[in-house]
Amino acid sequence: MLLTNVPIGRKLAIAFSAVLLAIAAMGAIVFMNLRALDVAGAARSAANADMRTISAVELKLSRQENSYRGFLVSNDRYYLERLDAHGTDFRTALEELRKSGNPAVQGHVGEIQAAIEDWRKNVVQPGAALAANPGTRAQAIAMVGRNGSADTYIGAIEESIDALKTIGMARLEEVRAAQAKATNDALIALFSGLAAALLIAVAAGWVLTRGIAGPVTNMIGYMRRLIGGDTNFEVPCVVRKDEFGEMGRSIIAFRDAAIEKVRLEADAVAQRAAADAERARNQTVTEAQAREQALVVEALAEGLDHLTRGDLTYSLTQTFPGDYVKLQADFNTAIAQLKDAMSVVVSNVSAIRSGAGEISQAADDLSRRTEQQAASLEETAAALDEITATVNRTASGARQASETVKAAKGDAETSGVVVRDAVDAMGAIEKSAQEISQIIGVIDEIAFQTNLLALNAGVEAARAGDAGRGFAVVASEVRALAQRSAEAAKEIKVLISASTNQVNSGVNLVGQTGEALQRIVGRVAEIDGLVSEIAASAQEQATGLQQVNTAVNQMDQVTQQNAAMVEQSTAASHSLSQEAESLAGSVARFQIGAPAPAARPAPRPASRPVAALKTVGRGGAALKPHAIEDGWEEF
Amino acid sequence: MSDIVPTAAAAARELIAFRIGRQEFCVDIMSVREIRGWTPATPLPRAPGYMKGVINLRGAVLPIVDLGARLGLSTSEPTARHVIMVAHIGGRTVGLLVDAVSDIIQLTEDAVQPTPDVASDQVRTFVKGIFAVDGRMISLLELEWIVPESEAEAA
Repeated sequence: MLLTNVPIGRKLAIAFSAVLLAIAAMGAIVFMNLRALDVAGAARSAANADMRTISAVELKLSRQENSYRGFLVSNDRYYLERLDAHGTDFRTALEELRKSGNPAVQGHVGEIQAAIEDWRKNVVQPGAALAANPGTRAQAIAMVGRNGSADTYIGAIEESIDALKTIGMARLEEVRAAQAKATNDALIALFSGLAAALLIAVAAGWVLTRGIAGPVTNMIGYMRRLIGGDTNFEVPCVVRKDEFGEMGRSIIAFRDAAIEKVRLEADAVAQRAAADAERARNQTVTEAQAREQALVVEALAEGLDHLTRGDLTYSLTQTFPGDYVKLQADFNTAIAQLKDAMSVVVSNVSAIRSGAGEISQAADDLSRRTEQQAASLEETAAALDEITATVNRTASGARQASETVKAAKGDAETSGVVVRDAVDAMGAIEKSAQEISQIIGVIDEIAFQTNLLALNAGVEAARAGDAGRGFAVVASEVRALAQRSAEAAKEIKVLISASTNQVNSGVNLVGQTGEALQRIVGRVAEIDGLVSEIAASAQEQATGLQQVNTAVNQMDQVTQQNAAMVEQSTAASHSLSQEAESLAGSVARFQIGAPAPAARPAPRPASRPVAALKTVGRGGAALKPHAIEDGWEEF
Repeated sequence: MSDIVPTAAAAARELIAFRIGRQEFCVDIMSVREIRGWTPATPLPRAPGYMKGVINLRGAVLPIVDLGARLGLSTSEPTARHVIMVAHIGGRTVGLLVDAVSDIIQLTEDAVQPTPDVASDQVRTFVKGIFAVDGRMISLLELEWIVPESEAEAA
């Protein structure tokens, strides 16, 4: 990507980005060195802690040895306890050292632990046992003397501690060197980064100034030349793709517009000169044409003169100039077509003449029949009036019948009341008969009892023997009376029951009579309804007939008007015939050359309407054949 | 009645005639104490079919015998028109139920015709003889056999 193809905004962004990148790289390097310094500081603290622990191990070793010697001097068990306490501290310090993780350190710690355990086992424990006995105490003391075994173990431990010290010091030195190096690196990175950023900023400033200010000055020069009217220059920076490329292209567009304007002014002057030459050429042509026109007009005037006199056989035969040959042909064609049209008109006029004759004949027929129709309608109206009167009489008769039926209905209803009264009377008779029956029953009972009494009297009389003979006779008479009264009562009972039966049948019959009367009342009501309907229907018929009458009268009037109109149309048809005649006369003025073809089509169209009129006229008029002949004669 | 009474009353006897259904019977008037209308009887348990029960006759208990049933005739339910004849039979008072009492008749002994032999002793046991009077057939009953001994004792 060339610098000339990049927009100004992007150029500025690239420059600032380079400066920022340099500063960011410097910051990263310094940050990493600071991290390394932190790590080195932590390692140094750990090494110092290890050195302190090694010192504690050394101290506790001498304190153990010291306590053992104190025991040997004093033979006091207190020192043995102290020895144990220091031993514990010694072991704790050793464990701390072991945790520091260095394998060399761990090897030395293992040696120290083994040696101290040997010391305790081979020196302190047998020594403590020997010291308890005053006889062997000297042996115990001798163990820690010049030639004693104790120094062997202690010497080994001291050597190991010295080795540990040497290792610790070496680590301390190493850590200090790393720390110093990290500090140095950080400083170098800081200064070099700053220097790089400064350099990049200065370079970018110089490049941008050169890239922007130079082209702007050039553009100003081109524009000044353009204002001064100088279009003969090229702008080299149009190939660029940045803003200066755009500006260059705009200036070129301005220059091209100025060139085009000059060219257009030159064209306008040339066109004006050409138009003047054309006008002069046309003048001569027009004069020649005027001469030709005079010839043509003369010929046309002659043709039109013939046409005015009605001569349709004339045609233009002169030789016409080339431009007017078509005019001649058109004139001749128009004359020929006019002639043909006139021929058709002549033949049609004949047809119209015959048609008008038919129409006037038909109008005469129509007028006569319309008069007949009017007469018939008057008769119809009179007959309808008579029918209306008859129907009115029927309606009044039906009304009278209805009133009579109503009276009959009232009578029948009164009869029903009478029948009910009769039934009640019969009931009363029946009741009386029942009472008589009861009384008869009482009489019968009395007769029965009297009979029994008489029998008892007879029995008593028989017992009395001869003394009761007369009494027996009386008793016998009483018995006879009782029997007769019983028989009479029985007969009355029979009569009464027969009378009761008859009364019952009477009640039955009267009841049936009542029902029959009720039915008669119902039937009479039906008859009443029917008669009323008949009366209403008759009334409606009378009304309807009245309407029919009115309609017939209206029809009569309309027919009269029709008759008047038919007369008018007859007169119109006669005048139409005359008009057709005069039309034929007018058309005859035209000479159409061949009269035979004009006469031939005339009868052909005329024959068809005649045939049609025959069918139409057959319905009413018997005088048809005469009418057609008359019509032709009239014309 | 009076025409039946004979003028020569030498061996005349008085009878009470009565009806059961369509048949007529008669008994001696001396055995009859009283004639009265029907009153409903109180039935007695385990009594024979012809015993209608007992009624109160002026304070005395009176057994009622349906005479028709006792004689083997067809009977009907008694009504107010039926009659009880109070009779004295063998020292006992018995009510006899009959349809109606028709007459007190006086007849001589020779008018009695003997009961015909109809191949049954029982008929003769009940019927002592037959009167034929004016086309009527009147059977004379023997009351002694109407009420059997054992039942008489029970009564």
